[in-house]
Amino acid sequence: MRTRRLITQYNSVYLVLFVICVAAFINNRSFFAFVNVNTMLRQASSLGVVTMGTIFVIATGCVDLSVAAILQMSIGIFMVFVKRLGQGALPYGLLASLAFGAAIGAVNGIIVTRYRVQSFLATLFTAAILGGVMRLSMGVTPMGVPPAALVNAIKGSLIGEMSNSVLIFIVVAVAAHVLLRRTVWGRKVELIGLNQTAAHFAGVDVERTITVTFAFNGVLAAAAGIMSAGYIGFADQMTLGSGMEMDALVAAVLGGNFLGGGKASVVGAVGGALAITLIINIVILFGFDIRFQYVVKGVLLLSVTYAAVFFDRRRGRA
Amino acid sequence: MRKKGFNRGAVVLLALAVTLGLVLSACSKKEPEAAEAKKYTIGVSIQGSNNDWAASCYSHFKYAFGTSYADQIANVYYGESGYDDKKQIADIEDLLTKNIDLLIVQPVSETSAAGVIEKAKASGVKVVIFGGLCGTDQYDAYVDRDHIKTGYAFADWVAKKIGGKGNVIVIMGYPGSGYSNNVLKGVQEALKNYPDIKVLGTEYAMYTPAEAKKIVESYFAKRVPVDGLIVDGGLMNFGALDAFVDAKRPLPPSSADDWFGFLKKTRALDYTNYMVVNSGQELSLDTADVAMKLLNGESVVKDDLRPPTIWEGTELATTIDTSLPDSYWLASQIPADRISEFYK
Repeated sequence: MRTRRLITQYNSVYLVLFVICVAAFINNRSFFAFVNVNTMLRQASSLGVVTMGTIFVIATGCVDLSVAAILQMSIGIFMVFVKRLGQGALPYGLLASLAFGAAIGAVNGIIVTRYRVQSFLATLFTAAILGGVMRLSMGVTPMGVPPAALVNAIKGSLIGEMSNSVLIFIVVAVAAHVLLRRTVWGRKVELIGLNQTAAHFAGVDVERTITVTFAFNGVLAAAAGIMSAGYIGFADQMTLGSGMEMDALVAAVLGGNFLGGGKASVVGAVGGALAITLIINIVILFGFDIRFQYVVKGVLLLSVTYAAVFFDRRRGRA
Repeated sequence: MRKKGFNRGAVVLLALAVTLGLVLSACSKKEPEAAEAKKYTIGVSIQGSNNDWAASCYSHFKYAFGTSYADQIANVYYGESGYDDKKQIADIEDLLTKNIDLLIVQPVSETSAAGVIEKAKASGVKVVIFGGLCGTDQYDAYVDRDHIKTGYAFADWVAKKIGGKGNVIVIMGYPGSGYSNNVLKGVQEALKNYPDIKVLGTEYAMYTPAEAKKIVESYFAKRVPVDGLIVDGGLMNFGALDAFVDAKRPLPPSSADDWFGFLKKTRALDYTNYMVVNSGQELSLDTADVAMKLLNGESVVKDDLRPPTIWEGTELATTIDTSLPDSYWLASQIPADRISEFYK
């Protein structure tokens, strides 16, 4: 009875995380050292921020495959501002990147809602176009070292020794949770995912809500781009964030968020992002070949899915 | 009557003059035609220009055929595959329809283009391979950096720097690629000479600084000292060194290639305990030389593997021109006055 209440599809990832962490701790007693935990959280922060946007999009029943392209282009736009206007233009570069993310997200939303193009295809095309535009306008050479102020802001610590990128991730996750659970927009997003027609008849402006959701996702992707550049101390718009659209989707699914839309969970998605990030750490700690990470990712996804199904069945029997 | 006879004579004279003129002009044309050198049509199938390395290869080809050999070239057709092996096959097939005399292929994968390369060779086109194995021996020349010797140079240098004992991390590019396997083979050969060196792990960061940084940070979690970094590339070493900077650990001896973005980072960190080798992108110019020799009937070495050129951080500390773009390479063969044209 107690298990039924504790383990749900949204938090079963934590059960798997717990098992992995205990195994890692047994293997290496320094696993829970503050330095290692802080490092893992810091590594997870960019993916975590992207995943927070992703769960809103998939809650509406859509997917966004352009987040990595938005992330990379945002890095480029930020660096163009800084390079052309000097280090003092950092806030403007930041605003321009976020505005760009919002604009591309909104365009995605409009294509999906007004022109009835499947979100999978619409965002795939947007990603391809952005990739081409980026190569044409910015070339293939990394944009170089970002301003020291940004690097220090991301790597620095406002609270104790905790990296600021972790702090940003926590703030974004809390904000996402509040938006999802405490605002009308959050309710609308979930309602659209559950039944778009019903949402429409219930007075929800489906087009606008989906468009705003994509724009929100775009803003978070852009923010994650700037965070990534700060974390690595290098604005490599060609490789940073590569494959993050899939990692964010997997993280969301690990957190119990179904691609079909409907109810979403920020808590689950945070666990999913941590689990994805932990994979490299675990593989190296256990001394496995790094190619094993792909196997671990698959096994993790299967384990969490099975755990969710297992406890759902038990709940059904009870 | 007189008038008529005059006309007939004039016509005959005119006809003779025209005939003579035509004969003379035909004769006079023959001489310069024989003296004029044959101009060649070349097809170049490159991997793409998706990164600085590939873009620099492309630049060297354009420079060679557009400048050094411009007077011998009728046309050069380029096919950019964007690292897509299927597109490369289609590109080569397209190039073969353009009556090319010679085909240069920079293979995307080690096997996929073998069939179409054999087809090109069988059709009488001369074939030069550059920058990677192609899965067939049906070519006239293969120009590349010796990757096994490169790996050996990386590991030997780092091993000597740490006094022949300690822990090292090996970071390669793509898992399973023949190129990375060869570099790794060289690394392993060199490390056989240093039994007191422990390889903490051989990892693949896929040429991304972020992945390299995560890998090194994960090793820090093991709480074992990391005394050296054997890294096959400046972009990856950029991330690896950043992990040391963040962890406030002293920067260990490391290896990389000659990408300027990395060299500029070493200057910014005031770090000299490293070595770099030429990345091999500049050999595309040498490949063009080999191609022209083949076309002009000169003999060439079939498998032309060049040993790596090595520079140490201490010698580069004062010579690196930080005003050059990140995309530039130390071993680039593009003349100084044209760098801005090819490297942005």
